[in-house]
Amino acid sequence: MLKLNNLHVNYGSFEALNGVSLEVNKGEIVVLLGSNGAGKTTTINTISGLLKPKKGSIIFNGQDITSMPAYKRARLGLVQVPEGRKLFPEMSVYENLLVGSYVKVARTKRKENLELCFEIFPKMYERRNQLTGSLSGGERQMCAVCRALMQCPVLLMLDEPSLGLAPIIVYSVFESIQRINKMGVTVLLVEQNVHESLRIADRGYVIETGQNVISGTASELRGNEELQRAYLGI
Amino acid sequence: MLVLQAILDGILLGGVYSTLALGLSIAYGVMHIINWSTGQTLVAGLYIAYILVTKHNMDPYVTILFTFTILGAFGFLMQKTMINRIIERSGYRAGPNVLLFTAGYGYVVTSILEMIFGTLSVSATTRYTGKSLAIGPLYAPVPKLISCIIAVVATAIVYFFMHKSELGRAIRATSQDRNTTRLMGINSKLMYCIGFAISFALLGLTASLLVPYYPITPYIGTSFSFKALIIVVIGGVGNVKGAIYGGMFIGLVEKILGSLVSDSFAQVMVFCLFIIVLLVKPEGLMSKRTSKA
Ligand SMILES: Nc1ncnc2c1ncn2[C@@H]1O[C@H](COP(=O)(O)OP(=O)(O)OP(=O)(O)O)[C@@H](O)[C@H]1O
Ligand SMILES: [Mg+2]
Repeated sequence: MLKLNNLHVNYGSFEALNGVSLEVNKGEIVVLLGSNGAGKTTTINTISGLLKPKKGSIIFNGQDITSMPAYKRARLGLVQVPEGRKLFPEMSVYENLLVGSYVKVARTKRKENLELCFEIFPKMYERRNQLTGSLSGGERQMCAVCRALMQCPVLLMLDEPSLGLAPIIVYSVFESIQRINKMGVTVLLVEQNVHESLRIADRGYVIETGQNVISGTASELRGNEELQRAYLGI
Repeated sequence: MLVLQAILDGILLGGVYSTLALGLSIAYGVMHIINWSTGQTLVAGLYIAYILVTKHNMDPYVTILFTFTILGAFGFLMQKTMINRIIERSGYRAGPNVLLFTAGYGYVVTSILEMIFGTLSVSATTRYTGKSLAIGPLYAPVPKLISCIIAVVATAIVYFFMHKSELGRAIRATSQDRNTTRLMGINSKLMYCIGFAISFALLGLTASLLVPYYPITPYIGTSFSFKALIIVVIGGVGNVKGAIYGGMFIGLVEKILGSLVSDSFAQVMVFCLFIIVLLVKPEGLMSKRTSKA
């Protein structure tokens, strides 16, 4: 479904990615692991089109989207829940969800998607008229996931959804990611929470300083000493 | 009685101030850029309306159709061909660069108007000129009354557009986080163009509302830019309701102080108020939000 070939991305003269490759197949949950500054956010922002690669290509559903503008990629169902949630703070939860379903295709499914969101996250229904600027961290994450669901994702990318959340909330967020995946949405999960993410993932990649270092199935990664060491060594 | 009349005058003036301020406020709120050519654009609109009224015998309020569309289209193109480019290439200096660009552009507009229309003041005589309506012991000049009503209705329409329509919501979302709206499939550059087009179109509308009673020279732009900025600072940036409250407030301060003391004292106070608000409550007097650290 998604294939990155040897991506190189620069911020000015700083090389953040020096050849990242990965592949996500239909129906999978793939996790992208790496410590702080490894280039995870850079990778998914490049997939989303917010950053332009200097070299390499991005293929989505057989189509080369390397030079497609970000907003057009989103319309193909390539959806991202960004790092730090990035909600529209001066809008209510409900309005955020409406903006999520701005595009025509999503607008026609707005009603059923809203019901789906409120079913998965009943808390969001309670908070629907609250400005998102005043939500708690966990509620913000739920709202960001809901907003992404409103976009009718084909491939859902989540950038560190567990960041700053209590373990119990992390558990429930991961639970809902799993549930969304079961509904047929392919997932690319960016995480530092190795343990929880490998629990739900099918496969994973580890990157360091903008390069692939390890990849394998979730169970292979769970048993990988190098990975354990890398994470203890941070 | 003098004060009551001043209050009425203030409200009539304030209504038109609110669409003027919206012209600045939407561009400022959406793109975080100050359009320092707000006043000059308004003056260009005034001359367009003036020509339509005097040369083509058009009703001043019918000229809205033309000023609104012509300036709106112009604003769209200007954003698309120039300002988006400046924003893209300037990085973190985008704000100041666009401000300088619009200031320079404003100068060009003034010079062109001076070249075409000369330096003398002109005013359009319309079928509303000199007519006024008695409301009890007070009187309201008919053109000011009609203009104020149209301005208030237009502001309400803009409010509903920004808050209840899909497009308006997308524009507001873009103003809060431009990269994230792209992730929602929204073409943020197009939203900027539309935002700027609305800003300019509202200045065109304001011009048509002023043309029946306001004397025009090429040089009145700067003071309108300042007035708009003051109202926006008082009412809160990008806040449609704030524009009408701010507009009314400034209209009232001007007319009440003008009638009690003097017009020049009123102007001084308006500018002082601007400074005080910036010092004390920079997010706007009307804003409920407290300032972020
Ligand atoms: N806008 C930027 N300008 C310059 N350098 C940047 C920019 N954004 C990120 N970087 C650098 O690129 C590298 C990769 O950053 P990135 O945000 O992709 O890391 P990450 O893996 O997402 O880390 P984290 O887990 O902390 O979010 C880092 O060294 C970072 O300092
Ligand atoms: Mg990151």
